[in-house]
Amino acid sequence: MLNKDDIRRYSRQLLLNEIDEEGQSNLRSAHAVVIGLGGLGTLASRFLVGAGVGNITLIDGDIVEVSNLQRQVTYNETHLGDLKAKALSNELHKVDPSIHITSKSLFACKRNLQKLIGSATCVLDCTDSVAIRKDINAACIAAKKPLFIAAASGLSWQAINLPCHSFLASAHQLAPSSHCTSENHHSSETDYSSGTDYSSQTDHADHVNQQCQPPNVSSKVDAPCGCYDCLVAQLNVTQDCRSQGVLGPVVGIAACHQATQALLFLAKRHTATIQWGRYIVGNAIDASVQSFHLPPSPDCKVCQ
Amino acid sequence: MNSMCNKDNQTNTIVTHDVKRDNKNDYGRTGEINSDKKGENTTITIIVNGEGKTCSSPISIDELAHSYATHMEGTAIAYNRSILSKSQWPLTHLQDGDHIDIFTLVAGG
Ligand SMILES: [Zn+2]
Repeated sequence: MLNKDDIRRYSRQLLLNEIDEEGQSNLRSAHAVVIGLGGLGTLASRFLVGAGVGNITLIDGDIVEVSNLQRQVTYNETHLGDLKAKALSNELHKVDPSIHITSKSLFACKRNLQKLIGSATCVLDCTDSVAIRKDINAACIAAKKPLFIAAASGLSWQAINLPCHSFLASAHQLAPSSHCTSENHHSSETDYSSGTDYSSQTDHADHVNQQCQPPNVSSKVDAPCGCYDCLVAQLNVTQDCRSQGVLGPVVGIAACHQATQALLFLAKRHTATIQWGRYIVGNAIDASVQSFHLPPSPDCKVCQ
Repeated sequence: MNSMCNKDNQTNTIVTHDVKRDNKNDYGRTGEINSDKKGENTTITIIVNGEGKTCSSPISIDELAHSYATHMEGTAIAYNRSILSKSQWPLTHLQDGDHIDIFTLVAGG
């Protein structure tokens, strides 16, 4: 149930069938973990907060530098030298103080990822190197967390939604008894239909959605899909912003796409009509967007 | 420009020329590409990054990729709209009408 303030605040998106009141309540009980707070993470997390995702964890060990301001839109000159996680958390708190934001000023790595994503409803990979992206992919598969990946370099942007568990397994989980909205759940954080006053919610994000594991993932996975490792294992990907440069709004397009996909999933979970396992390739010069199926690689050491 | 493979005509020894739309090409898709034992010049028409091309058959995806990309680092290939693992490139032979998309993976953020 939404209160009057919620209805006013989210009036524009409540009109969409893909969100509506049920979806808005689902957003409030969701926990998004955003890894990497650069061009992708600053913008994606701003949209998640604006849309009312109730719990957000921001992860980055970096500090704000002047070369970031060209594309990392939430920072400004007053943040130079500050830890990104703290600076972004402060700015996002100004957008909506009722959102529970946890900032982690550390770099995600193999050792800490399982803990960092443990209570996530979904993970957004907003990082900038293949090595950490592979670790995030492996951690999400191990923990069965839906993963939204975006990337940009030069004038190209790319993205993929990965369910991170097999389609067949998710089909079984679509049975109503395993769905989080079961009326038998009276723990307020996972009970979308309760009359919880969300604005007063102060519980730590780590407790959110514990009863929703593994998350229900859309039935729109039309064929088994691979993982990030299937995509990059045999390739030497060198295209990053440091070596190739990037135009600010091109990262912005990637971040907007990523946030859109995550919001559609978080609002409707297993009935969201987003596409899983399709690799999106966008070209900012001719405004073309193509998508390709990513099949599982038979010799993938991570997902097979 | 670095998002898509450059078509470098200087190194483009396999892909012979752009296909005109009225080009009559009746080669079937049933895989006779290896039956060219009499030395006949078998050509097939494929679509590479949205453009029609003719090339001599047999030709593997690996050979096509090397004729296109100036350097292969981070180059990914979708074969008929599905991404093909690099280990499959030399094993997959193109047939008439195939769609190939060559692009460079990016990881920045
Ligand atoms: Zn895999």
